[in-house]
Order: sequence, then C-alpha cells, then structure tokens
Amino acid sequence: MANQKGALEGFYRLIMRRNSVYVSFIIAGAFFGERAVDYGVHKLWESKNVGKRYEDISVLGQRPVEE
Amino acid sequence: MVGGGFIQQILRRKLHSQSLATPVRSWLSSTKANVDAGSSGVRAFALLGAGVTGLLSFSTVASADEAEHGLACPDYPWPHDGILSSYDHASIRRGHQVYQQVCASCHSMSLISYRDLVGVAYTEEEAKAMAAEIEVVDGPNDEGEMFTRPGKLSDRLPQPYANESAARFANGGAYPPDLSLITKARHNGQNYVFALLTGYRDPPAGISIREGLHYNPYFPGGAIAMPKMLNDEAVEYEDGVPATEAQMGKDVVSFLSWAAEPEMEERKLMGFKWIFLLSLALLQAAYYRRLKWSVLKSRKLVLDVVN
Repeated sequence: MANQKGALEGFYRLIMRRNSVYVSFIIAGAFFGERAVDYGVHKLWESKNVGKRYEDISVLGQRPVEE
Repeated sequence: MVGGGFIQQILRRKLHSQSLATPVRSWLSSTKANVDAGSSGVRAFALLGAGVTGLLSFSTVASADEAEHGLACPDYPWPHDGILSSYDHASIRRGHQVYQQVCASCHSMSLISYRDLVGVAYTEEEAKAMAAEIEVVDGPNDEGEMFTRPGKLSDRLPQPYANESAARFANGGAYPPDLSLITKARHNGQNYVFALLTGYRDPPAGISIREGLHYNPYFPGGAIAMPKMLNDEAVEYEDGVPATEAQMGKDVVSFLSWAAEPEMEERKLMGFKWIFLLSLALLQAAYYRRLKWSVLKSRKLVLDVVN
C-alpha cells in the first residue's frame, strides 16, 4: 500500500516505532479528536437549525414578571 | 424490470438449494473450505436470496382498517423532522400558551414541572412567575396541618381534576387523557394529534353521532367526546403570529412532542456524533482485521506425499 517514501511510512516512523509513543498518540488524539468532532457537529447543528433555538425566541423575557 | 428478473434468479437459486437438504450442507461447507474468491460471491447471492424470500413472506401484513384505527393521518412536515433538526423553541412556547389557555381546563400534564420549561421556552424568571400563579398543597407543617402555598419551579403543572373519577364525572363519563406522553402513546402520535385537533367536520350522510359526542374521522370509532377546541383567534400569541387553527395545532403538537421527548435534541446530536465516530472505527477495525489475516489468506499449501 505505502512504499518507502509514502505518507503512511512517515506516519509509521514517527508514531508507531515505540508503543509508548503510539499509546500516547491514541489517548491525546482521542481527547482532541473528540473535541474537534463535538465542535464540528455543533457547528453543523447550528447551521441547520437557524432561528429555532431557545435563544432565538423573540419574546424572551417579556412576560410580566412582577405579580 | 431488470431487478424483478434478477430477484427471480436469486429466488430460483435459493428455492433450488432449499429443496435439496443434504447437498446444501456439503455445498455450504465446501464453499467455506474453498479459498476461491468466486464461490464466496455465490454464497453472498444465496444469502441475499434468503433475505428476499424472508422479506416477501412478510408481504401478507394486515393492512390498517379504518373502522378499527380511524382515518389514516397524513405525514406533516414538522420542523423537528430529520437527523439534525432541533425543535422550534418559539413554537414550543406558543404551544404551551395554547395548552394553558385551551387544553389545561380538562387535560392534565402531571409529568411536566415548571423547571422543565426553563431554557426551553421561558426564562427562569418567567417560569417562576408562572409557577407562582398557582396554588399548591404542601406537606404537613410543624403543627401537622397541610397548607397551600404559591407554586415554585419544582412543582408539577397543575391538574384540572382531583382524580380520574372527577374528570369522568365532569366530562360525561369520558376521561381526558394526561398529555405528558401523548405523542408517544398514540401510533404516529404527532401527525395523529394534529390531524385529530384540526379534523373535526360534519359526519357524512347516514352517520349520526349521539348527543354529547362529536364526529372526528381520525378518532378510532369516529365519535369523540372532546368538542372542537381550536378555532381561529382563540388565543392571542405574544409574538404576534396569527393564531389560525392550523397554527395553533402545529404549535401545541410541537409543545406536546417536546413534553414527551425533551431529550430529542441531545439524542440526535449524540447519535450523529457516535455513528460518525463508530463508522471510522469500523473502517479501522476492518483494515486491522484484514492486515492480521493477510498472513493466513496468502499462505500456500504444499502436499508433500511420500509414496
């Protein structure tokens, strides 16, 4: 799949030579990757639901509060 | 056309294999031992044929009977339909207003608390003010007596009747159901409730409804105890949206959908995120499995017979 000069070969040399580096990469990658996925999905959600959020209610706070 | 012929081929192959019991077993086991890639394609076709046969055997499904289930209701384009669609929160707020002014005189929503509305349709101050408008009976005080106090955020929405018997007595023997879960408690709940609320009409010629009931084709049996409640301009919306019958129906069903499934938005976000991530994990797992198995899949066997 990857020859000596492929990008995956470089990835192997950098990350997968030592297992300690590999595991650290996985844990850190999972943490930051999940943050990135959460951010991306949230942005997608907001773009699809323009004007439907709670914050977009036009009459928010206008109910008479003093009784 | 082509698909039909294709499916027929599959079925013929599948039926043929079904009629020969023992040869099938040896055929299957021989294909398992056989490393040849072509026969695994045949196996895939056989499995597909089995699936299609199973599917077609379910084709004698009982079709819905209008006399038993009521008129089939159409599918309305709800703003919260779709994988990444949230509720329309302005609609939830208007729907709560409709509920409070039109429905709450007969229908309880005893599983919803005022605090549930905060951050969904009302601010905390608004919800507190709404709660304070009702009187709630609270537990024994230091003297052992029950007392009434103004409502708090933690209180449930008020019930119009003390118990089911009182509700039936006040409504000619019919019990107005609690609406907290109604869109989940009825088949195709959202569409059904909207169709029901807006579906009142004169009965067709020859059908007479007794005194006290009303004709509604969407209600199983056709005769419902609730009269038509949604009429144009019955409610004046805070945000100035014209309160037509259809608008009020849409808003109140949005509110009821939220009440039955408040977790929907979180559920959709979670589902999208994890299905996406697990698909990536599936790709990784498939690659890893094929990587590890490549040793075995590419081995050669040599028969070294001494004779």
